Amino acid sequence: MKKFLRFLTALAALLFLPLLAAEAGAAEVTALRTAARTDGNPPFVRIVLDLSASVKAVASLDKSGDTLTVTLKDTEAASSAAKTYSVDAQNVDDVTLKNDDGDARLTVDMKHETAMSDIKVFALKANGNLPQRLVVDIPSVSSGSSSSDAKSPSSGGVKGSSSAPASDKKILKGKVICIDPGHGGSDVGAIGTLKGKSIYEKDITLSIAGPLRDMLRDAGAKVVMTRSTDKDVARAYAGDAEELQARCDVANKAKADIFVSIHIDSFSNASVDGTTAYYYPKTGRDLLLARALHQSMMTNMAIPDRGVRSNDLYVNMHTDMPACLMEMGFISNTHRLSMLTSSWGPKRIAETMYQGIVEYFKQID
Amino acid sequence: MKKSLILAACLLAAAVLPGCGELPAEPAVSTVPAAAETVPADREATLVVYLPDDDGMHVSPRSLKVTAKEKTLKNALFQMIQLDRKSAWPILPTGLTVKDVNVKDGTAVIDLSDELKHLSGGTTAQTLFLAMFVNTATEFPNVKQVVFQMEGQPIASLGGHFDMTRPFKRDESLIRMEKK
Repeated sequence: MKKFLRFLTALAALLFLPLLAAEAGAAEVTALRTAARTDGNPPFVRIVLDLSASVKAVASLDKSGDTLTVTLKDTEAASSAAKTYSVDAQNVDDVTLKNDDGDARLTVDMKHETAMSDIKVFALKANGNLPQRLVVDIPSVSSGSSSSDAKSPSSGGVKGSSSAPASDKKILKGKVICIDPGHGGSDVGAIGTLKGKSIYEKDITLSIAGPLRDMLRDAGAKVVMTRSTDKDVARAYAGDAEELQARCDVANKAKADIFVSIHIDSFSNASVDGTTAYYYPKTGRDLLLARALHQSMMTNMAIPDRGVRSNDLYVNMHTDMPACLMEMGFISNTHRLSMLTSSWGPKRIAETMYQGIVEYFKQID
Repeated sequence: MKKSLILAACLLAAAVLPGCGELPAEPAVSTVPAAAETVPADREATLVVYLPDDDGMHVSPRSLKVTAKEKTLKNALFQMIQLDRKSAWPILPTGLTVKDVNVKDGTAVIDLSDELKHLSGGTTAQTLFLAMFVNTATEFPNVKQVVFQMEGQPIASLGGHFDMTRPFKRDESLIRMEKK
């Protein structure tokens, strides 16, 4: 019966899609992109194929329900686009695009069984600089397990700012969280360049900290910021240690439950990118906090993994509570810098950090 | 073939060293005649220095053939800085020099020039800086830990990230494991 249903849904896709894009011909897939999105409920991975012309597409699931195949009829995948993309975010492991006997075939390997009715496949018309596109959205959870989804605080609710899920409020109520937007004022931090313009780390860290503060407050936490504007915490041109100690003092005086420092990394090799969670083992829970924040980044964002590392970072050592310094990608990487300076990037990171913080308190309570 | 390459590298190093006029002279080369009594000064020795990988995740060891009298900590750090500056993705600031090295009771005090202030922001570059210096220094059996100074003065923090007041010990986790 179940098999028959799957057959039906696959068939439905077959009938439906050609309506969206009727014109067949020698179309080409010029590029493929993936992005882990947290702005839906449930969060989803979006796969976008850029097309040179309209195509006919057929989507089907295999028997086990964890491999989706989308065949683009009479279409050729450009050699630069035809390859395997390691996504490893949410429900998606890999995405493969290849040429198969005159058709282009997209295969999506999912981590668990997903219903065809939860997968969205649709066409987008050319718009401005954007070409025609075929979009595939893979949900992080299938509606088959929607009851557990509704309970999960990490399954959304942070999209707007109106209200956090009740379960988050229960977890975060009364918690004191110190957020430290790295650098500021006379200390610009690392410097990147985008379209000939200098971009400062201090501005990006603040643009992430703001939405994070709002989300945490909305969920009932007491948030203490080391700075909310572009300023030095100690005083302008203070020595590094004096400035860093002033940040630790803010957290220590507030008797914060956790201290989270937001930074953007930099390296001479511009192709390097990724996120690292740094901790210093002093309270017994520093590693736990770093792991929770790191895990959230890995689950909710498409960003290379540089691990959870222990070292002697000043703010991690000199705060009294569990602390973690997160490096959120590289300012020296143009692709990452575009994301970090976009209208949505900092908010996405804030949402991801929020979920990591909720997860941490869930684990220790 | 490999041996001849190493020899070529060695010759190159030998040829480059005396030519670096703008850098402070290397006293190590000329001020250890005493060593000649036990180990012939021109006998071949190996220096191991640590350099960053292209992905900035780890440092990797590089062996350099030198003469026994050139096998000093100061020379190892000098060679390490030169090799980093010549690499595709140097992380050390231009003009950075080792002003002095002093080893006492297992602690090496490395005094660096004030170009250290220009070390790039970002925890990655600073982590690599520490991994390069500390792992290269602790290759010498008499060095167990490292303290940094700049222009003869103690450093409290590095680039707004690291606590520099404590001695740093060797960190093998930052060394890339040998590839099979």
